[in-house]
Amino acid sequence: MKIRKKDGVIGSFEAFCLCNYLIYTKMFLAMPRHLIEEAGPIAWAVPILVLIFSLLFFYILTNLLQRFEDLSFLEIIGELWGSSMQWIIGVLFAFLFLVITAYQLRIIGEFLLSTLLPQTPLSAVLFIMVATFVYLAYFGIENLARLAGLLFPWLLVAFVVTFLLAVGRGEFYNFSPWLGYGEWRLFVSTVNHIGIYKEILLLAFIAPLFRKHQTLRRTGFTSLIFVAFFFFFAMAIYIYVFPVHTGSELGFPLFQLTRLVYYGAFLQRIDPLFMFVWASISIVGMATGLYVSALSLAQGAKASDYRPFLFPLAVILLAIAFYHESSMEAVKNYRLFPAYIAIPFFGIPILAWLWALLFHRQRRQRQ
Amino acid sequence: MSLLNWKKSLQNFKKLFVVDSSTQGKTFSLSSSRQPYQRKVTLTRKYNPKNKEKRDIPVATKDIQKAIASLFHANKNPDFVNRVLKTSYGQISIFYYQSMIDAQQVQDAVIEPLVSLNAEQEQLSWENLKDLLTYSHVTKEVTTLEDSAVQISAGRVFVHVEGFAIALAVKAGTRESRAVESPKTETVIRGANDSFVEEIRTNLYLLRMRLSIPEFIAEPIEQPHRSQERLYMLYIEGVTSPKLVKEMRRRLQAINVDALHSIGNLEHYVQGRPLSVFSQGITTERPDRTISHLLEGSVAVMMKGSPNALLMPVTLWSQLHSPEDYYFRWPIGTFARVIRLIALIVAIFLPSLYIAVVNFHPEMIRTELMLSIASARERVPFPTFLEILFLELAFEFIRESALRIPNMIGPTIGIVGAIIIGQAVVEAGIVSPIVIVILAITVLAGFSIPYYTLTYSVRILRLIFVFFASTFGFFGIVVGLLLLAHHLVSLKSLGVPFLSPVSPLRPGNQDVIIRPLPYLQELRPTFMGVLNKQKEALLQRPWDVNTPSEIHLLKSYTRSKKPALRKKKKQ
Repeated sequence: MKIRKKDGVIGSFEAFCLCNYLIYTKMFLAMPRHLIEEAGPIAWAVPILVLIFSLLFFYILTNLLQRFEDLSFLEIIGELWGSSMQWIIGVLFAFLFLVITAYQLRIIGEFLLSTLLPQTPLSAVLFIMVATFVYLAYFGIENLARLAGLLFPWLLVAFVVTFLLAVGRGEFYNFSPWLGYGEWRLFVSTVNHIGIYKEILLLAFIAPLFRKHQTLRRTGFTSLIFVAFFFFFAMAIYIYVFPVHTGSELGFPLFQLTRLVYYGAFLQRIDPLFMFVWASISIVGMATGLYVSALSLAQGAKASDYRPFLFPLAVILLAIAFYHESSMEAVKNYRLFPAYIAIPFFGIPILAWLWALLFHRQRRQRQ
Repeated sequence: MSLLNWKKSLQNFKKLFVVDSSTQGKTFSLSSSRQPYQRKVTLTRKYNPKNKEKRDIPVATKDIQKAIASLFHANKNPDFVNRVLKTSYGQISIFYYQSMIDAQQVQDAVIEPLVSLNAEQEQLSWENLKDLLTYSHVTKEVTTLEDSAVQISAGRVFVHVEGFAIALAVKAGTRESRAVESPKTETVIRGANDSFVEEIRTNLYLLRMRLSIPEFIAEPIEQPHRSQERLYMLYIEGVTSPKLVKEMRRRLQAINVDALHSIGNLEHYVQGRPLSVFSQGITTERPDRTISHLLEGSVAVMMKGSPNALLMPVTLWSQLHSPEDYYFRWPIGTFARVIRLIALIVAIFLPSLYIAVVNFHPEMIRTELMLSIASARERVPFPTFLEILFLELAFEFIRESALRIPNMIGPTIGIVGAIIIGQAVVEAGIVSPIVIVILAITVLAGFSIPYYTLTYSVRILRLIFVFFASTFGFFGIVVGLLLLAHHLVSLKSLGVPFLSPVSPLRPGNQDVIIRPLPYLQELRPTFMGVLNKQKEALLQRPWDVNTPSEIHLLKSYTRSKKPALRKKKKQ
């Protein structure tokens, strides 16, 4: 397999940044609107409630990885259930990551056209983005992670400053009623968005690249807590600035938030500048999505290198991105499937963990 | 041919078509977990294919005269001197290139002692003969004709005495070189004002004068295919990582070309990514900069006939540093570095940002400013992209012509440039005045980058970003920025990441943008894999009342511990 320690190791900080990018991309799409629609003024609590479940899941995942140190998630599957299952699950995850990335690509492409590049054809934007993904993914996870780490502090500062500048237009009473539409609606919304942090599974695919298992564990937990805090932060500011009814009708919520900022002295509006933050995080996040998809396919098929899969997957990615006729259709479907996609994302690792716990040790003893 | 040879030949043939999978994707790294990439080079070129086997030096004078004369085409080459001297113990043959040898030195150091010796041939031993040539410091024994050719080509006097199947190569060369002058591209206000010259011994003197320690090694790199001792690898034993020294030696020895004309030429052969727009080394003409990098764990390569040293590994940040940063007080040094970093950003992005704002996002800037820009552009019939491109080309023409033009008429270029760019193009309605302001700031920013090669790289990048901005606005700039940042993080300079210590992040290293106080810089950069991490003693200012007392305590503690440690080691 290509993914081995001899090919380099991934640092804790870089992996942390990469996870943040991969998970956070969806926040720049229509997700804040969906959350506020479902949970009302208490939508800020959903990321925190999902975090509790995600921490539990990640604990199980690291437990599984610890039992098979130096093996990636799919290699563990191969060890437990045989090569055929390794291939099937590899293809399944490759497809899932590809579909997520393709939907995000389409929505972001449409967003770019509607806000910044009204006269540019959609195909031009999507092609340049996919070409960038292929280039970034081609040089491997080590460089991708370093890129993420290099940009992270700057993007973080820009992100926080931009949001804080919008705070001046907020109203604290937008948070009321404090429990939103009630506990049950909050619970349903949490279940619907249970897969917000599902991309943390990336760490399981690149587990052999960490020097120690402890590093992986620390990276995962820190990433989850950090990203959850920023989901909460962005949601809280969004609700604070836009009342529930307005907030549930805006096209690209966080972008609309930045459009409110009037800087004054030299720059009039900073929404194109916010685009630096938004596009950087999205492009690196989606490039990681394409990389994991290719890696999953390569690991499933026990191929020596993931790179030959990149170009064909990029073509499929474009095909899926162009599948929907309109932007609205893509947004609608993207809203529906995360809940279902979460089932294999959480179900298979938990099943594998249970299997390893109950049967694998016995088989080894018999041998 | 035996079966074994057949197999070997087949394997070698296979290597021409199939990449060894075990070597795929491996690059040199200083990390201890990665072994250096070792691939046997099978396609080596023979320097002298006609004479594959080495021939012994003949004993008789007549034979050696004939052999050397044919080897050096003496009849066509009047520069080649071939002298025969008759002595009491037999005939002596002397060969050398007149242009490379000091005739007086040959007379005093070689001919005089040899001719004045009064002895019979039977009494004469080879050791006696060697001892006669005390005026000449380098004497090398040569036993084959091919080695003699190498020695004569390298500028040595070749001495053969009848009756011996061995000869001597004696150094009696001239040291024709220009005097040491001030640096041309790395000038400083404060600090040393000497620079390297073409003569390697002078350069080594300039370096050894600054670093007089026996651990400072200037290792000649033997390259059997060309004249010897053309390249020197410089490092500090006990400081520089041995893995790094070994790798550089390997890369230098692998070079197999007719001639290397300068260090700039050599760069392409030893750098990991020669296709990159960035140089992964520093070519410097300053001895102080060379020493400073050597002390930080780098390796330097010098070449006979080239007034530069190639320093590797280096980082992008060190390309933004100037020796002057260390000669001024720290706030001045830090301020200069910040200015340079801003200059780098401005030189790459300013024209593209202007295009993006004017063409795609005019809502960003204040309405008054936007209207002012629009009114300035009213008379210009071209798109902003063409305006920028036109001015960029004009600047490049001026720069190129200023380099080529004779000094006598140099100021003319300035006048022509000022009139054309400053006045005529605006009046003619080809470009708007604001574009001139933008481009002037950009060009000035570009020239404030201290490493000249980086200035060239920045120019190319600027054009690429202008293209991205004119196609996709800010989004294009973001895409370009990501590609550039990714390229930079993937670059390595002799195994060291080019953006170290920022990416990968190594928080302990301080000397990036803020220039730390010199007496607080106790450690060498950790990412260089140095053997001796301590750069200076812990307590530099014992007399200062502000020095924390803990450091005094720590110092006295280590001092008291040292003898105990030594005793333990002895046991």
